[in-house]
Amino acid sequence: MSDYEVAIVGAGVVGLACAARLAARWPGRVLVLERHEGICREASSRNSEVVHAGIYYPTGSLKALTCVRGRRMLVKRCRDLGIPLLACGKVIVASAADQLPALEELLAQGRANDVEGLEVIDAERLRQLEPGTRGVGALWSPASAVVDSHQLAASLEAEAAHHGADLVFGAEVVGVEPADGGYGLTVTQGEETTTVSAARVVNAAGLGADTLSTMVGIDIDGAGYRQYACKGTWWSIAPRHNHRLSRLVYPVGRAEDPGLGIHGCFDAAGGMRLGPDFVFVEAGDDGVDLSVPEAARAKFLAAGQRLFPWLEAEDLSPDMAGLRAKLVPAPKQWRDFVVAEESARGLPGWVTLVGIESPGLTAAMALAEVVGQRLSSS
Amino acid sequence: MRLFEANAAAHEVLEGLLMEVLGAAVDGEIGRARAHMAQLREAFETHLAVEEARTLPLLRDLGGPLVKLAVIIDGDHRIVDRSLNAVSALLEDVGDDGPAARAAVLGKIEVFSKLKTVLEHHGVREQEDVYTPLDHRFPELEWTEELLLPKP
Repeated sequence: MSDYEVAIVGAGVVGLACAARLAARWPGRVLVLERHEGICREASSRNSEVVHAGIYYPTGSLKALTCVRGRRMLVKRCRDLGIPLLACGKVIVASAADQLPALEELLAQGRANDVEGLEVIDAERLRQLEPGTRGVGALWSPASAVVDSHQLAASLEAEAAHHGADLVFGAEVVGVEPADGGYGLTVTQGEETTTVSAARVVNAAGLGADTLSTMVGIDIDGAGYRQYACKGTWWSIAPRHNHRLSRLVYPVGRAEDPGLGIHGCFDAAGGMRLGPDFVFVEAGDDGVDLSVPEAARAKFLAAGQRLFPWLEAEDLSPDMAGLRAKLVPAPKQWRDFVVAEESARGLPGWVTLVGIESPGLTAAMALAEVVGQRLSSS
Repeated sequence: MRLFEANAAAHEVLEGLLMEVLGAAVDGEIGRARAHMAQLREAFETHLAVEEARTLPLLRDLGGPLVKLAVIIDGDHRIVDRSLNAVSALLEDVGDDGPAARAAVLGKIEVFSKLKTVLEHHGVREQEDVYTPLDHRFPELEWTEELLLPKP
């Protein structure tokens, strides 16, 4: 008999959502292994905390389905548990007339994805909603929001703990072997190396998920699981502008924008930020450089001024950087989330999650639901 | 004293004792840190007994979303319990008073951070979402020694 029914590798928000759900199914039989000394130390804590409505993604894709469902689950959880959620909505702004057709395309895509409340608005209505924003029209998405992601994650950790899950920090998986009816995981924790067995494994290791896939014998290139680190940086806007925005402000994606485009967002205290940009990076000997390069100031100023004419160069200060786990090595290529149960590769009960980039925070609880379904069918 | 007023005060005591433990530990005064740790453990057990005897059953009985809140509060308690164990184990491992112990503590400061974070989050959660509304709803509930008696 295995030590645990399920081992989850990674205590980011998706791993924790899986832990909360699966520990309810197998009380006291779920283990979470996290290589850092606490929860949510990578992508889950280095993002804009935006709750996405689910507008952009192809209808029927896992990103669309889990974003829309995950947002509803997240909003209910926040309401039930008192987790701070700013139901601020978002405007996707067309800066020039030639971008207006793109708003209609986004409206149709969002409606096809079952996103609530979408509406194309004209320049006058945009001025009423966001007086400090420049644009000739916008898509208004009232379902978009900002969440306190740390409190959300802490609540998921607490729910897992309530159901008796064991969360072990500073524990890195360095080897995997198929064992009797499950898997043996070799784990280092400080100077010690131990082995633990689990009947099922959920690989929610974020940027390390492809490495863990390799350990269990999956050809990550053949499977399409190789991940590429894509750095995004944020610049904070001077506190004198706090509360200047009351809604998230995104640009309509332009052909030359690799992602959704640098947008304006804010935290619960009203502090404003611009970001993120989109730069593929490779890890050096000391990992990936997460500093915010001063050289990017002009790029952020230009992007910000397209939306906010009041923004001045001295308003910007380097803020933070994070990494996305992308399944494509270049901009403008699209891949869906992958949540795969690996019986077909001879690995029954092993579930791989790769490419869990935005909207992963929004989708986390729905992704956990999908993981539960995949395990049920294995 | 009203029950939920007492519970809120208990949180302040827990956070205060943790700062005493942390302060002594980073000064390399491990004996003093262990003594404060024993007080912290005892204060937590007392608080936990009251919460399990009265607060959590009340939330479950009220039903609806409060049942889920009781799950999270109980989970917080378990994480606090584990985090206390981790801090106790660290204080046992680092040896006796002195610079070496101080360096060992500083090298593992995340163990304290985890406990501090969960206590703070838990305190805010209970104050805003549990104690204030329940105190308003059940102002007659008093803290009594009987709450500390072992359950059958």
